[in-house]
Amino acid sequence: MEAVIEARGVWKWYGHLIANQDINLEVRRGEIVSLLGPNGAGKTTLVKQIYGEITPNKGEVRVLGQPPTNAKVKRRMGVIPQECRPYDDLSVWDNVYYMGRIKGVSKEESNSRAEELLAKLGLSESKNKMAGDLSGGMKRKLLIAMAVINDPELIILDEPTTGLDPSSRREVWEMLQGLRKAGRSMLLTTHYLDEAERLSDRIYFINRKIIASGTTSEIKERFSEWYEVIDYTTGEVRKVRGEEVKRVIQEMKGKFEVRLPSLEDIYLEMIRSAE
Amino acid sequence: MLSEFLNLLKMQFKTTKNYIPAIIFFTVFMPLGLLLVFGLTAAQSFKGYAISGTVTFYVAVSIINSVAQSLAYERNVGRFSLMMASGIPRWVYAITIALSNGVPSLASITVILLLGEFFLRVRIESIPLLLLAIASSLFSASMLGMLMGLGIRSQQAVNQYSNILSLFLSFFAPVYFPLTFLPIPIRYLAFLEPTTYVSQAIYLSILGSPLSALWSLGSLGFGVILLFASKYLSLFRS
Repeated sequence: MEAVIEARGVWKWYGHLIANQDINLEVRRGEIVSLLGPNGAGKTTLVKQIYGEITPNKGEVRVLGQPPTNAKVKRRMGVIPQECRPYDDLSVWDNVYYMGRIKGVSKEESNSRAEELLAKLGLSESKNKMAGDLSGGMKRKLLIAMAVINDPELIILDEPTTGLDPSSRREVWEMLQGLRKAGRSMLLTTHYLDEAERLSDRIYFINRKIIASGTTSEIKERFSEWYEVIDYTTGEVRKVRGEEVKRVIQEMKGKFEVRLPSLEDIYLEMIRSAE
Repeated sequence: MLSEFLNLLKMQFKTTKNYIPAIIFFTVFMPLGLLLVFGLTAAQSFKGYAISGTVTFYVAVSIINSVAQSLAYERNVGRFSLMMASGIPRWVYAITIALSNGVPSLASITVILLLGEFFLRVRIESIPLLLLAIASSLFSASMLGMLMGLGIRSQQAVNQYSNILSLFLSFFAPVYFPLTFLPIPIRYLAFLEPTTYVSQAIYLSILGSPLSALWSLGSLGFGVILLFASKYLSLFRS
């Protein structure tokens, strides 16, 4: 499958601080790929290099086969940067319409796309409201509308659901899944394991460098070196290696459960060992 | 790029319509107060300085501050990233913010000039020189604001230093009085302050002196240097 994002040996540093270390990453057409990592892991720095806000000190990034600083390539992308806010002093409609015009979409197309997107996102009734008056979830939806007004092939979302309540998060997830169904490729960064697990085709764990990558099941398969054995009689939770599971459960008197570690457990273990 | 630039500018102007009461106060009442304070207490031969000083004060306080602070805010809320991701270079976006903040000041400047003529009986002798002086001063002040807004990382620091700098440049420069009032060593230091050029260019245009054009040129030079410094900084930051 054709790669829409390719990062090869990317390094980014600020003085003595290394933000990204020899990053190799690929997003293929039609995929949703998540970057997972703790705060300060270099996710946003990497994403900024992918959408061309900053350039790597070493290595190469190509987006849709071109350097990401190319203005024509940027018009084929839709990006929501981290902690970005729409223009509070503009109406919902103006935010979307002008973003289209800025991205080179014609007047007529901006009008019709804005109308269509606002309807799809349930923002039609609020289209004359100031963006500053919207709730957090609605603002995030508005940003998504602004990002996709140019009908981009690739969508990059830096922490799209941070700070949202559970129902708003789910609404955003549904929208992203809808975009995937429409054939869009996506790169998203997140702190939330459940989000990554639910949305992504593939995941990269990053802590300055890539520490693991693959589908959720590949990662679980590769990195689950132990099982979690829960003894419901005592409430004890034990981490047990595969060959010992049989012996441990034979010793148990009451009800028990054996399960593979969750993605979150694997992630925390990896981050800890990488530090 | 021109169409994108114009749409960006249009969008920036639309955001200012929410601040009409503040715009009215700062456009009409505050200049009136300043002109009355400085103009009515000055000798007739220096009344022109009340006008050039008030215009300069306006240029310094409203433009340097608003451009620097708007840029810092925009950076803080991630809109620079949003624009850069949309293919708009950082410095082009900064220029649209600078212009949208700078152009409304034209209304304030017009009001100051009209009030000056009405209350202080000071007539403008050369409109072309005055226009040149105003255009160059708006440009240099916008560029100074842009450099601060792009150059200082923290938004709080930008807010603080732009306030200090704009007031410093208004009252620690020969803005409300002639340059010759300053003793020689300090006079040289005043040449480092863009507001010196702005006030002298406006004052001399009021008198109709062609020397005004030279001061405007100085102001323009400041603006160009600051523009290149901002552009360099944008490239350096990437």
